[in-house]
Amino acid sequence: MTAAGMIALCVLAGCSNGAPQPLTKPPYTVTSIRSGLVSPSDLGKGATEFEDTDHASHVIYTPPNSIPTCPYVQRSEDAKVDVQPAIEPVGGNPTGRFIVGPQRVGPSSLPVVTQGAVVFQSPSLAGGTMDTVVAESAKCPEAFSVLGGPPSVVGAYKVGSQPIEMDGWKGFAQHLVHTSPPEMNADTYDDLVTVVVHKANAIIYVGYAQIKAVGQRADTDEKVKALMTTTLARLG
Amino acid sequence: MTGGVHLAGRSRARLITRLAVVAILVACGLVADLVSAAVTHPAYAHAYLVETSPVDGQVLRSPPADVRLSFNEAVSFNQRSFQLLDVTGKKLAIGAPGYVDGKANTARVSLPASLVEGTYVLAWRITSADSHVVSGAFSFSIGRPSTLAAPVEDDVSPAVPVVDAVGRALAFLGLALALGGGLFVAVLWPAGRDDRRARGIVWSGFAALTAGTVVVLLVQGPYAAGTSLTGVFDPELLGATLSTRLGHALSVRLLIVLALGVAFWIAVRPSSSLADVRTDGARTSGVGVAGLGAACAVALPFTWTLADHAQTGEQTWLAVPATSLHLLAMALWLGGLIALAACVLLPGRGRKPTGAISLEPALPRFSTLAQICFAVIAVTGVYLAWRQVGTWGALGGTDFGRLLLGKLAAVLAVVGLAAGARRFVRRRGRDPLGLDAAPYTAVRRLRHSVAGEVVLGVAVVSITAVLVNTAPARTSYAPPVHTTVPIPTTVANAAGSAAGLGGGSVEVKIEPAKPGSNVADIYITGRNGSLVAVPEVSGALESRDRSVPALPVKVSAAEPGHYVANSMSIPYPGEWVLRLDIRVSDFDETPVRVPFTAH
Repeated sequence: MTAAGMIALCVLAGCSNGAPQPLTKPPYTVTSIRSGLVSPSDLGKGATEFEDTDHASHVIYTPPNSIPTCPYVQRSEDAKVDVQPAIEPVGGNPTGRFIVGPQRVGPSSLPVVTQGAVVFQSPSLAGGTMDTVVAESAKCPEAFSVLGGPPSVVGAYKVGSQPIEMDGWKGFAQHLVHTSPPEMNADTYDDLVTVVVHKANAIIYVGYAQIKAVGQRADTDEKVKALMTTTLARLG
Repeated sequence: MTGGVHLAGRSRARLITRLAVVAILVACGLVADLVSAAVTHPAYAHAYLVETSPVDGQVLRSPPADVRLSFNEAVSFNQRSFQLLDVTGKKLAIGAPGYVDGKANTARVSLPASLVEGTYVLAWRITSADSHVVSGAFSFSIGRPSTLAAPVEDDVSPAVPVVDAVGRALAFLGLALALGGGLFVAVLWPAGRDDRRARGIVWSGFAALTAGTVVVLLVQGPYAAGTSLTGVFDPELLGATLSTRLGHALSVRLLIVLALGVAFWIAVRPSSSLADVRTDGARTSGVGVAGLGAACAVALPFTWTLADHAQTGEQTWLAVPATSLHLLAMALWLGGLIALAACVLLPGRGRKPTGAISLEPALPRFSTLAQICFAVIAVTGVYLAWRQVGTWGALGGTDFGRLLLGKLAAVLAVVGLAAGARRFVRRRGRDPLGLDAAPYTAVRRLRHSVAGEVVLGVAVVSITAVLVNTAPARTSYAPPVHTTVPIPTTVANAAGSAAGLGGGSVEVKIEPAKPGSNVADIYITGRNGSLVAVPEVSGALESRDRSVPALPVKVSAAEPGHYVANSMSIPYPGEWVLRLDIRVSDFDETPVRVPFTAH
């Protein structure tokens, strides 16, 4: 009987792993899905949040309700494949695009998170859209260049992508490194990871960008996974 | 009183000493075996693909007549084991698969001659010699590659492996009740032949063993073909299963169960010759029945071990009998324990109080049997654990290893409880009045202890059922490669962007370092540890086998000084060298060799 009691205790202990309780569960709504997005408190002290409605001023315009597939490629002159930088979903309700970051961006500041979600009427609609997003992102070239335009986007781009799964959310993490021409900026590079994940009737995308000193290792991949492990756990 | 306390204290100390000795022996055995495993060549239990023709990613000028696959061990397959998909994911008609020149570790599928230009995916799903299903896919192109190849989806129903595991667990439990319960009722407990409940337990074991075997037999077809449970009665799939080694083993098992059932029926029937040995004829008949039962009991475990992990990998000549012995000992102990608990120790509804049922001779006989069984389980278990796990890292780093640790914890708890029961038998056995004179409280403690053993024993069987469906740790464990090699001094005087390379190093991480697609991260660092960008890095995978040509590895740049091979394909496990050609200027290039082991 003692042994049976110990087994029961072990089972109970296994069930209670100390993880925080989710705030919502599928099917998601436009309101409930927002609890899975990154908030200023998730990012750290000094972070602020605003909704990105002024999309027309962007140097790389993509529709605010779109899901990223290959950022910056639309400014490239040497990309040999025809690929869309983002997919506008059909049949989904977007949350809009939210930016969480520091007041002033620099090499030693907090990262900048650009994020949003699209909620669909059914998981099959969401799944179909995710398939389209994955297929389009798979066409993103491994390297391309932007030769003209604002100085902040000119330079060489290297792209790598890997599948990702967190708490039942499946999708991909696309790593993009942007280096400026040496005569413009030889000291820093942009380290950006775009994560697009799907579960049930929703798709979430999170772009996590840092400025790193040349010679430093890129670590955005690990940071965004750690951050999203926390935020996605809130969705259940 | 003081003497009694001293006696009890000495007894407890003796028990603790014995347990410590057992623990030390087990630990020493594990250490010795696991250390020896570190210097031996690894074994692989599940089949893996060694090579294909065409090779993965090859671009051909014209459609090939067939596709050939070669595996590291014998495999079995059927018509549904191979699928040819075009770029849209549409399944194309292919010929019936067969072996190449009759070699059991190969497969050949003829292709239609009408294949048009583009990329095709050949998806395969075969059954290993250990009855586990493995699958994969590779692509080839005709003319030129398509922009996007069709994704290969594994459409096997998630319910299929669950039902398969339940069937295997049912068969394990049935084996224990039929063998262990049968031995207890027919031999260890003379009154058992007349006990309806005892006979019922054994017959339920036969039923569970039969049902579990039939379930596994029916589910294996859909499991191998990657379909849903609706295919369990598909004659084609059932026929395919019956033609495999597992099908043969399951069929033989059913026959042995039938023979064993007949032997048990003869042994426990009211006019049993085993019960009445007064005449020579009856004695001869009894010996015959006992011999049949013993032969069946010995043969039955082999129907598992000749179609599972035991008969693949290294030392199969020892692993098969060792696993069979392990299984037999487990069955005799657990089945006997359940029968003992249910029929002798625990009072049942409508039965006399336990005190009226004599503990002798069943309890001391079973106690002796259990001691022998534990010794066998410990010795064979340590050997089998070493064989399937191999390294300490694999113990905590794989599902198989973690399950094994859980099973070990449960077994140690059982050993602790069993030691207490054994102590009861030895202490009370010295009493002139025998075990039945034991105080009620002592018997009650024994009952609780045995009930705990039963619960833990069933838990061990459940874990074992999952274990046999899990890839052995030796196969699944692949510690990621993380190594650093110095930059050759010849590049110390490099100019330009690579000027900081003098005294630097190349750090390489390879995950998962297993056959198949891998990701290699290459960091080129200078003397101060910061990354240094170079104009270009190219790579190739070289085998120690000189007959294997170097395989090109596509390396792309990430951040400055970091280079990535996102799809480095390792064909098979073993010793490899990742050769990196690092161009440090317009004219200078230096090779760096990074040796590693793919598991």
